[in-house]
Amino acid sequence: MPKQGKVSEKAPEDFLPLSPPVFHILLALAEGEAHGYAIMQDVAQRSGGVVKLGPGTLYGAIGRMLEDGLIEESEERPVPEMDDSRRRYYRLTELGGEVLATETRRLAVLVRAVRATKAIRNMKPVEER
Amino acid sequence: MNTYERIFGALLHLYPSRFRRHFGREMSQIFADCFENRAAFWLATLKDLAISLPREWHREWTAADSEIDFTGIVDFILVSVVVGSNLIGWGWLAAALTLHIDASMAELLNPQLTASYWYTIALSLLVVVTIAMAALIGILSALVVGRMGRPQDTHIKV
Repeated sequence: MPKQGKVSEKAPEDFLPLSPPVFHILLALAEGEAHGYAIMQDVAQRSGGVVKLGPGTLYGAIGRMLEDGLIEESEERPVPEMDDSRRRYYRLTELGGEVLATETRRLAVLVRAVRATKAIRNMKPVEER
Repeated sequence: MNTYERIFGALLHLYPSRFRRHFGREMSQIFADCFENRAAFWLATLKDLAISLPREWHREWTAADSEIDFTGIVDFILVSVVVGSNLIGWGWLAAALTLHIDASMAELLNPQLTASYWYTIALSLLVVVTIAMAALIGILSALVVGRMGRPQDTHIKV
């Protein structure tokens, strides 16, 4: 398990489709660097409590993302006085950002295709039900 | 550290050692941060373990620089085979003897033994010889490993 994200020879498209934990972690880190607990809270909040990552799932995904070079450990501490030295901070790499953007585009195309279908057009939006 | 954190710390030992070394401390920290002594929390924790444990072991197993001690696994399989064959063999022999003992005493005195009786004796003999061979292989293996020692820096790659 590398300490720092390594340079991957893969293209962003090679990582698609992303698993829900990986997508949510990338999304959480798109806002800036964060430690595991902050990522976990961000994912739960952003998904309205639907996606809850346990420690095993979270750090399993983080380990794979470090190996793939999608994220890297950050040596800097965002707020030094509030920092807990036991926590590691993670941030997106350039490749991680590209993978997130590529996956978002793929999902957007899918959503457009689904919305164009007759059955979906006739459905009421969730908030109106 | 309270009792629940100690329980979680013990559960972390189920993960491959490399994963535990790298993330164990942070996982314990997160567990302490999120801890609620409710059934739902424990269920979620166990579900997370059930999902992530096989994944991490598979990852460690397939890693080019795997830290899994394959010699230990091979030892375990060999011992299981020897002990298992002994248990099955001796159990089968005891059952066969119990079922045939009355008939055998009478038939032994009869010069015209039936074919099925000879078949039983031959099968029993085969089981005993197989068990003896398995035990012999086990003992010889133990002697060789004990005499030569295990290789320190190598793993048997499966």
